[in-house]
Amino acid sequence: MPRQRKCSAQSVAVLSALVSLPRTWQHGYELSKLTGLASGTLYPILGRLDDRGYLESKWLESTQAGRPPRHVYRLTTRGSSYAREVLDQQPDGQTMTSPYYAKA
Amino acid sequence: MTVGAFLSPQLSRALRRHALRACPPPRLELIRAAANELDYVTSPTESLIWSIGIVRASYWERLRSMSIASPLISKPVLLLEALICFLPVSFFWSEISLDVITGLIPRTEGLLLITSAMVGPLGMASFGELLLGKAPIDASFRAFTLALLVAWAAVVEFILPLTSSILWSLPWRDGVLLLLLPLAAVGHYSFLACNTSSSDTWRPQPAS
Repeated sequence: MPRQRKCSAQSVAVLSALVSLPRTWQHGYELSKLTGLASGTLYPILGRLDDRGYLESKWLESTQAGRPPRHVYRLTTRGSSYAREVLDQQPDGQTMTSPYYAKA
Repeated sequence: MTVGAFLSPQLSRALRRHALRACPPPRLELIRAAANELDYVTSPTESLIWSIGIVRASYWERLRSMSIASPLISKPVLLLEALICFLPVSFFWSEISLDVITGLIPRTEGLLLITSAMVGPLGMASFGELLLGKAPIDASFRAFTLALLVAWAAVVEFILPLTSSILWSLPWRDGVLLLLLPLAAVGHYSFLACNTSSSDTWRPQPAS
Protein backbone atom coordinates (compact mmCIF):
# COMPACT_ATOMS: atom_id res chain seq x y z
CA MET A 1 0.00 0.00 0.00
CA PRO A 2 1.53 3.35 -0.96
CA ARG A 3 2.00 5.94 1.74
CA GLN A 4 -0.50 8.80 1.57
CA ARG A 5 1.65 11.90 1.29
CA LYS A 6 0.53 15.22 2.70
CA CYS A 7 -1.01 17.40 0.05
CA SER A 8 1.02 20.53 -0.76
CA ALA A 9 -0.56 23.99 -0.65
CA GLN A 10 -0.26 24.18 -4.45
CA SER A 11 -2.03 20.84 -4.91
CA VAL A 12 -4.75 22.01 -2.53
CA ALA A 13 -5.20 25.13 -4.67
CA VAL A 14 -5.53 23.04 -7.85
CA LEU A 15 -8.00 20.66 -6.21
CA SER A 16 -9.95 23.59 -4.88
CA ALA A 17 -10.17 25.19 -8.34
CA LEU A 18 -11.25 21.94 -9.92
CA VAL A 19 -13.82 21.05 -7.28
CA SER A 20 -15.41 24.50 -7.46
CA LEU A 21 -16.63 23.64 -11.00
CA PRO A 22 -16.88 19.86 -10.75
CA ARG A 23 -18.43 19.00 -14.13
CA THR A 24 -16.74 21.75 -16.14
CA TRP A 25 -13.73 21.01 -18.32
CA GLN A 26 -10.95 23.46 -17.49
CA HIS A 27 -7.75 24.07 -19.40
CA GLY A 28 -4.31 24.65 -17.89
CA TYR A 29 -4.15 28.39 -18.52
CA GLU A 30 -7.49 28.90 -16.83
CA LEU A 31 -6.39 26.78 -13.87
CA SER A 32 -3.19 28.78 -13.70
CA LYS A 33 -5.20 32.01 -13.52
CA LEU A 34 -7.51 30.56 -10.88
CA THR A 35 -4.77 29.26 -8.65
CA GLY A 36 -2.01 31.75 -9.38
CA LEU A 37 0.37 28.87 -10.11
CA ALA A 38 2.97 29.01 -12.85
CA SER A 39 2.89 26.38 -15.58
CA GLY A 40 6.04 24.77 -14.17
CA THR A 41 4.24 24.05 -10.90
CA LEU A 42 0.76 23.42 -12.24
CA TYR A 43 1.45 20.75 -14.85
CA PRO A 44 3.47 18.35 -12.65
CA ILE A 45 0.58 18.56 -10.15
CA LEU A 46 -1.95 17.81 -12.89
CA GLY A 47 0.25 14.88 -13.98
CA ARG A 48 0.35 13.44 -10.47
CA LEU A 49 -3.41 13.82 -9.98
CA ASP A 50 -3.97 12.12 -13.33
CA ASP A 51 -1.63 9.24 -12.35
CA ARG A 52 -3.67 8.63 -9.23
CA GLY A 53 -6.92 8.55 -11.18
CA TYR A 54 -8.25 11.78 -9.69
CA LEU A 55 -8.46 13.56 -13.04
CA GLU A 56 -9.95 12.88 -16.41
CA SER A 57 -8.67 14.76 -19.40
CA LYS A 58 -9.30 15.12 -23.10
CA TRP A 59 -8.14 17.16 -26.07
CA LEU A 60 -10.57 19.82 -27.22
CA GLU A 61 -10.37 21.33 -30.69
CA SER A 62 -10.02 25.08 -30.64
CA THR A 63 -12.88 27.23 -31.82
CA GLN A 64 -10.34 29.80 -33.01
CA ALA A 65 -8.84 29.07 -36.42
CA GLY A 66 -5.13 28.30 -36.48
CA ARG A 67 -4.91 27.58 -32.77
CA PRO A 68 -3.83 24.14 -31.47
CA PRO A 69 -6.18 21.85 -29.52
CA ARG A 70 -6.32 22.34 -25.76
CA HIS A 71 -6.00 19.71 -23.09
CA VAL A 72 -8.83 20.09 -20.62
CA TYR A 73 -9.27 18.57 -17.17
CA ARG A 74 -11.94 17.82 -14.63
CA LEU A 75 -12.14 15.71 -11.49
CA THR A 76 -13.33 12.12 -11.58
CA THR A 77 -15.81 10.93 -8.95
CA ARG A 78 -12.90 9.52 -6.98
CA GLY A 79 -11.04 12.79 -7.45
CA SER A 80 -14.00 14.82 -6.19
CA SER A 81 -14.19 12.73 -3.01
CA TYR A 82 -10.45 13.08 -2.51
CA ALA A 83 -10.60 16.84 -3.11
CA ARG A 84 -13.40 17.29 -0.57
CA GLU A 85 -11.50 15.17 1.93
CA VAL A 86 -8.37 17.29 1.44
CA LEU A 87 -10.24 20.59 1.54
CA ASP A 88 -12.07 19.58 4.71
CA GLN A 89 -8.72 19.24 6.41
CA GLN A 90 -7.64 22.76 5.44
CA PRO A 91 -8.08 25.71 7.77
CA ASP A 92 -10.77 28.14 6.51
CA GLY A 93 -9.68 30.49 3.73
CA GLN A 94 -6.49 28.61 2.92
CA THR A 95 -7.71 26.64 -0.05
CA MET A 96 -6.86 29.16 -2.75
CA THR A 97 -3.62 30.95 -3.31
CA SER A 98 -4.78 33.42 -5.94
CA PRO A 99 -6.40 36.72 -5.00
CA TYR A 100 -8.07 36.51 -8.44
CA TYR A 101 -9.98 33.43 -7.31
CA ALA A 102 -11.13 35.10 -4.13
CA LYS A 103 -12.93 37.71 -6.24
CA ALA A 104 -14.45 35.16 -8.60
CA MET B 1 7.67 47.45 -31.40
CA THR B 2 10.48 47.18 -28.85
CA VAL B 3 13.29 44.69 -29.17
CA GLY B 4 11.96 42.88 -26.10
CA ALA B 5 8.48 42.53 -27.57
CA PHE B 6 10.01 41.19 -30.78
CA LEU B 7 12.37 38.71 -29.12
CA SER B 8 10.03 37.48 -26.43
CA PRO B 9 7.72 35.39 -28.69
CA GLN B 10 10.72 33.89 -30.47
CA LEU B 11 12.38 33.01 -27.19
CA SER B 12 9.08 31.52 -25.93
CA ARG B 13 8.81 29.32 -29.00
CA ALA B 14 12.43 28.20 -28.67
CA LEU B 15 11.85 27.32 -25.01
CA ARG B 16 8.71 25.41 -25.94
CA ARG B 17 10.59 23.37 -28.54
CA HIS B 18 13.32 22.63 -26.02
CA ALA B 19 10.78 21.57 -23.37
CA LEU B 20 9.16 19.14 -25.80
CA ARG B 21 12.53 17.65 -26.71
CA ALA B 22 13.67 17.34 -23.09
CA CYS B 23 10.48 15.68 -21.87
CA PRO B 24 10.48 11.89 -21.27
CA PRO B 25 8.05 10.13 -23.70
CA PRO B 26 5.47 9.00 -21.08
CA ARG B 27 4.96 12.63 -20.04
CA LEU B 28 4.95 14.14 -23.51
CA GLU B 29 1.18 14.58 -23.61
CA LEU B 30 1.26 16.64 -20.41
CA ILE B 31 4.07 18.89 -21.66
CA ARG B 32 2.43 19.18 -25.08
CA ALA B 33 -0.75 20.31 -23.32
CA ALA B 34 1.21 23.04 -21.55
CA ALA B 35 3.00 23.94 -24.79
CA ASN B 36 -0.27 24.30 -26.71
CA GLU B 37 -1.58 26.69 -24.08
CA LEU B 38 1.22 29.06 -25.05
CA ASP B 39 -0.73 29.97 -28.20
CA TYR B 40 -3.56 31.26 -26.03
CA VAL B 41 -1.37 33.52 -23.89
CA THR B 42 -1.60 37.02 -25.31
CA SER B 43 0.93 39.07 -23.34
CA PRO B 44 4.58 38.59 -24.48
CA THR B 45 5.88 38.72 -20.91
CA GLU B 46 3.31 36.24 -19.71
CA SER B 47 4.07 34.00 -22.65
CA LEU B 48 7.78 34.04 -21.76
CA ILE B 49 7.01 33.17 -18.13
CA TRP B 50 4.67 30.40 -19.28
CA SER B 51 7.33 28.90 -21.59
CA ILE B 52 9.98 28.98 -18.83
CA GLY B 53 7.45 27.11 -16.70
CA ILE B 54 7.04 24.47 -19.42
CA VAL B 55 10.81 23.92 -19.49
CA ARG B 56 10.81 23.64 -15.73
CA ALA B 57 7.94 21.10 -15.80
CA SER B 58 9.69 19.13 -18.51
CA TYR B 59 12.94 18.92 -16.57
CA TRP B 60 11.05 18.06 -13.41
CA GLU B 61 9.42 15.11 -15.17
CA ARG B 62 12.77 14.07 -16.60
CA LEU B 63 14.45 14.15 -13.18
CA ARG B 64 11.52 12.35 -11.60
CA SER B 65 11.95 9.48 -14.06
CA MET B 66 15.58 9.15 -12.95
CA SER B 67 14.80 8.81 -9.26
CA ILE B 68 15.38 5.29 -7.99
CA ALA B 69 12.77 5.93 -5.29
CA SER B 70 10.06 6.35 -7.89
CA PRO B 71 8.06 3.44 -9.33
CA LEU B 72 8.30 5.44 -12.56
CA ILE B 73 12.01 4.68 -12.70
CA SER B 74 13.70 4.83 -16.08
CA LYS B 75 14.71 1.64 -17.86
CA PRO B 76 18.40 2.46 -18.30
CA VAL B 77 18.77 3.07 -14.55
CA LEU B 78 17.07 -0.23 -13.72
CA LEU B 79 19.17 -2.07 -16.28
CA LEU B 80 22.40 -0.60 -14.91
CA GLU B 81 21.38 -1.50 -11.37
CA ALA B 82 20.58 -5.10 -12.37
CA LEU B 83 23.87 -5.48 -14.22
CA ILE B 84 26.02 -4.04 -11.45
CA CYS B 85 24.30 -5.82 -8.59
CA PHE B 86 23.31 -9.20 -10.01
CA LEU B 87 25.56 -9.95 -12.98
CA PRO B 88 28.72 -10.86 -10.97
CA VAL B 89 26.79 -13.18 -8.67
CA SER B 90 24.99 -14.68 -11.70
CA PHE B 91 28.32 -15.44 -13.36
CA PHE B 92 29.51 -16.95 -10.10
CA TRP B 93 26.36 -19.09 -9.91
CA SER B 94 26.76 -20.40 -13.47
CA GLU B 95 30.46 -21.12 -12.99
CA ILE B 96 29.90 -23.03 -9.75
CA SER B 97 27.01 -24.96 -11.31
CA LEU B 98 29.28 -25.98 -14.18
CA ASP B 99 32.06 -26.99 -11.78
CA VAL B 100 29.68 -29.11 -9.70
CA ILE B 101 28.36 -30.83 -12.85
CA THR B 102 31.87 -31.57 -14.10
CA GLY B 103 32.98 -32.70 -10.64
CA LEU B 104 35.63 -30.00 -10.11
CA ILE B 105 34.10 -28.99 -6.76
CA PRO B 106 32.89 -31.38 -4.04
CA ARG B 107 29.11 -31.68 -4.26
CA THR B 108 28.30 -30.54 -0.70
CA GLU B 109 30.41 -27.41 -0.95
CA GLY B 110 29.16 -26.77 -4.46
CA LEU B 111 25.50 -26.98 -3.45
CA LEU B 112 26.16 -24.60 -0.58
CA LEU B 113 27.63 -22.08 -3.01
CA ILE B 114 24.97 -22.60 -5.68
CA THR B 115 22.15 -21.91 -3.23
CA SER B 116 23.93 -18.87 -1.83
CA ALA B 117 24.40 -17.42 -5.33
CA MET B 118 20.80 -18.13 -6.44
CA VAL B 119 19.98 -14.47 -5.71
CA GLY B 120 21.88 -13.57 -8.91
CA PRO B 121 19.74 -15.26 -11.57
CA LEU B 122 16.53 -14.70 -9.59
CA GLY B 123 17.34 -11.02 -9.14
CA MET B 124 18.15 -10.70 -12.85
CA ALA B 125 14.83 -12.35 -13.69
CA SER B 126 12.87 -10.06 -11.34
CA PHE B 127 14.51 -6.90 -12.67
CA GLY B 128 14.18 -8.22 -16.22
CA GLU B 129 10.45 -8.46 -15.72
CA LEU B 130 10.36 -4.84 -14.59
CA LEU B 131 12.37 -3.85 -17.64
CA LEU B 132 9.82 -5.56 -19.88
CA GLY B 133 7.14 -3.47 -18.20
CA LYS B 134 5.24 -6.37 -16.66
CA ALA B 135 3.50 -5.87 -13.32
CA PRO B 136 4.63 -8.55 -10.85
CA ILE B 137 1.57 -9.32 -8.76
CA ASP B 138 3.64 -11.22 -6.18
CA ALA B 139 6.34 -8.55 -5.87
CA SER B 140 6.31 -8.59 -2.05
CA PHE B 141 6.73 -12.38 -1.97
CA ARG B 142 9.59 -12.15 -4.47
CA ALA B 143 11.27 -9.40 -2.48
CA PHE B 144 10.99 -11.61 0.62
CA THR B 145 12.48 -14.61 -1.24
CA LEU B 146 15.36 -12.53 -2.55
CA ALA B 147 16.00 -11.15 0.93
CA LEU B 148 16.07 -14.71 2.32
CA LEU B 149 18.61 -15.71 -0.33
CA VAL B 150 20.83 -12.76 0.57
CA ALA B 151 20.57 -13.76 4.23
CA TRP B 152 21.53 -17.30 3.27
CA ALA B 153 24.52 -15.97 1.31
CA ALA B 154 25.59 -14.13 4.45
CA VAL B 155 25.34 -17.35 6.46
CA VAL B 156 27.44 -19.16 3.84
CA GLU B 157 30.01 -16.38 3.97
CA PHE B 158 30.46 -17.12 7.66
CA ILE B 159 30.41 -20.91 7.26
CA LEU B 160 32.75 -21.26 4.30
CA PRO B 161 35.95 -19.89 5.90
CA LEU B 162 35.44 -22.42 8.70
CA THR B 163 35.64 -25.23 6.15
CA SER B 164 39.02 -23.85 4.97
CA SER B 165 37.76 -23.79 1.40
CA ILE B 166 40.10 -22.61 -1.31
CA LEU B 167 37.14 -20.86 -2.96
CA TRP B 168 37.08 -18.19 -0.27
CA SER B 169 40.49 -16.73 -1.00
CA LEU B 170 39.35 -13.10 -1.32
CA PRO B 171 36.61 -12.60 1.30
CA TRP B 172 36.30 -8.81 0.84
CA ARG B 173 35.86 -8.97 -2.93
CA ASP B 174 33.40 -11.85 -2.61
CA GLY B 175 31.60 -10.12 0.23
CA VAL B 176 30.99 -7.05 -1.94
CA LEU B 177 30.12 -8.87 -5.16
CA LEU B 178 28.08 -11.70 -3.69
CA LEU B 179 26.56 -10.05 -0.66
CA LEU B 180 26.58 -6.26 -0.49
CA LEU B 181 25.60 -5.45 -4.10
CA PRO B 182 22.72 -7.98 -4.22
CA LEU B 183 21.64 -6.75 -0.77
CA ALA B 184 21.42 -3.16 -2.08
CA ALA B 185 19.43 -4.20 -5.16
CA VAL B 186 17.08 -6.41 -3.13
CA GLY B 187 16.55 -3.49 -0.75
CA HIS B 188 15.57 -1.29 -3.68
CA TYR B 189 13.30 -3.98 -5.11
CA SER B 190 11.57 -4.32 -1.73
CA PHE B 191 11.18 -0.56 -1.51
CA LEU B 192 9.50 -0.47 -4.92
CA ALA B 193 7.29 -3.42 -3.97
CA CYS B 194 6.15 -1.71 -0.76
CA ASN B 195 5.53 1.65 -2.43
CA THR B 196 3.39 0.42 -5.29
CA SER B 197 -0.26 -0.32 -4.73
CA SER B 198 -1.82 -3.52 -6.05
CA SER B 199 -3.96 -1.55 -8.51
CA ASP B 200 -0.97 0.34 -9.80
CA THR B 201 1.50 -1.18 -12.19
CA TRP B 202 5.24 -0.90 -12.14
CA ARG B 203 5.93 1.35 -15.02
CA PRO B 204 9.56 1.58 -15.91
CA GLN B 205 9.88 4.23 -18.56
CA PRO B 206 11.19 3.50 -22.01
CA ALA B 207 14.65 4.78 -22.79
CA SER B 208 14.41 8.26 -24.21
